[in-house]
Amino acid sequence: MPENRTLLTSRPEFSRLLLKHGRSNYITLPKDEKWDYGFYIIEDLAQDQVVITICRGSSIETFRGLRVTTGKDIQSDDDSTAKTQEAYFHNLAIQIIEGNDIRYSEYDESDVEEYSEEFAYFEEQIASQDVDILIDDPTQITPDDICSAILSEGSESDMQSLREMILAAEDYDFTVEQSRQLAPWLLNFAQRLRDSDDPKNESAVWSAIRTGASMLEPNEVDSLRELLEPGHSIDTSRVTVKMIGRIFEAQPPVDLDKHQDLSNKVSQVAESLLNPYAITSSQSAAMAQLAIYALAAMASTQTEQMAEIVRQLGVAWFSQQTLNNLNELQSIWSSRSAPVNKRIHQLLTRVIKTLE
Amino acid sequence: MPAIDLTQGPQTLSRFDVLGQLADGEKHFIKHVGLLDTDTTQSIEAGGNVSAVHMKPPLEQEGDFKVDVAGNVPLNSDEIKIISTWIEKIIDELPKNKRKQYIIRPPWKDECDVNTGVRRYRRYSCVGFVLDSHQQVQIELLKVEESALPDTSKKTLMSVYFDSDSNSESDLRRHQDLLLKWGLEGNGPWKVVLPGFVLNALNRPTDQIRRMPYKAKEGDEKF
Repeated sequence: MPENRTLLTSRPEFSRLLLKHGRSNYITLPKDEKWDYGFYIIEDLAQDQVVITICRGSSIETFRGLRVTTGKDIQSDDDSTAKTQEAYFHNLAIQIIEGNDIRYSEYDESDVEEYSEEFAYFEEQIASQDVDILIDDPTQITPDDICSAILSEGSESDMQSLREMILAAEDYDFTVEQSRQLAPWLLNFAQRLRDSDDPKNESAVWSAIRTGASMLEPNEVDSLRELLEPGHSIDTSRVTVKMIGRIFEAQPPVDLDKHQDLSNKVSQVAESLLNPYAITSSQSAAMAQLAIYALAAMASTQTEQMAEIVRQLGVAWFSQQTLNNLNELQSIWSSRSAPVNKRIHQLLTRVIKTLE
Repeated sequence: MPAIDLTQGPQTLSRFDVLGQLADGEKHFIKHVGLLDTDTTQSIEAGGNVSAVHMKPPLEQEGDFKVDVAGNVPLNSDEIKIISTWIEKIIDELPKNKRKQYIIRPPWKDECDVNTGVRRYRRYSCVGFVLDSHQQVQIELLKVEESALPDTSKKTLMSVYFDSDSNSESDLRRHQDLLLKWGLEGNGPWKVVLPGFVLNALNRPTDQIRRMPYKAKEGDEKF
């Protein structure tokens, strides 16, 4: 029985929180093997103990853990020995993630050398359930868990875990109360991290905006204004414009021009891109269309002006796609049980006619 | 061009033409589809690696794709710009480190905030992504309502998604969990859109493809 019982979990984000000082690696599998990815964490628990936590699968957190008791080599000053061990663990993790059933007996003794006994020991551990917790069922992660992990003091001390938690949060349903806490935190996180030079933060910043913004009610949308600012290492304006459109698409405003400040800002975005040079780039064209959609969804009368500019541009495909988007908005609003305000409906109809 | 098996000879393909990949060991069975992601037309032969945008998962742009079969509508330059712009709008939602972005049934699904109903992102199957890309240019390749789809057995589905030699108890449990996450409860059969359906949908005259969606039938998982 090992002295240090270890919490092993199928939840990578929690593994990371628990194994604070672990080293982790993402592994992308060769394309033809599986459509999967996985990762593993190696944790030096104590001088003579190492735990490898492994997660595999494209979305399922099926897990196999290895507990390896090693001798003095793990702490050896000999760099080459340490590197050999690292390489060995890495290869082992890849094999497990790829779905190979690893058993110590399958190893060539000459490869494994002194480690073969430790893997035998691991097999016994699993067989006797000698692990504190082994969570294979991802449904055991609750929104409470996600909420606490993100909002906990010091959550940013382990950015890798936090990034994963933020991406995971997008898949969870939170209560209104939880959303009230999470939304400002996530949007604030995005605002603070957008100047980060670490490319790994990009997807977490965008995810934080999507999740945070999705929790907002129309009267809270002004809190997104700062995120529309251009010129940061991580561009937050495109995701923010998109989410403004989606907020009002799902929760139509009560009347025209109820969000004047925000609509001025979004109009600026649209106007700056509505020219034949800018829209030759698909990124700029996408941004311009998202801005027009947001204006229409927030029932800004400035949408008419933008539609007129689009018409005058005379770029058929761009007009067509803008029109398609607005038709989609109209269709979404028409399918609502509670009809949108008549003036808003009339505005959208006029805009659509301009583009037809 | 109708959909063609590239083993019959190389074919010139253009941006966003549909690419198909055959399953190993099962003749004519299409296991994956995506879109060609190059600016120029290319002569492509069977087994060649091409640049693709496809739901691997994760959604990959300019990813490697070993192509065996292909088909197209074909698309004009305006339609290509529209699809390209659409991809720019959604690409932030499906980063490579996002775990839950794949779904089989339905072939795409919006994930929304439960309280506000606001959309966060859209999950796709590989075929769902191809279908949605064409919907952006008003081309409905397939009827995707379940009432219009043939039954797909668990065995067939497993052969699309999992290696046949991974039969250990833990693998089977993992596969069952994955199927559940991808929208497939129980043991089937299910009404799902399989990659091969798209190639069969494209194997029609262009005006027909543009005019009416294809109704998949039993056996269309192969091409």
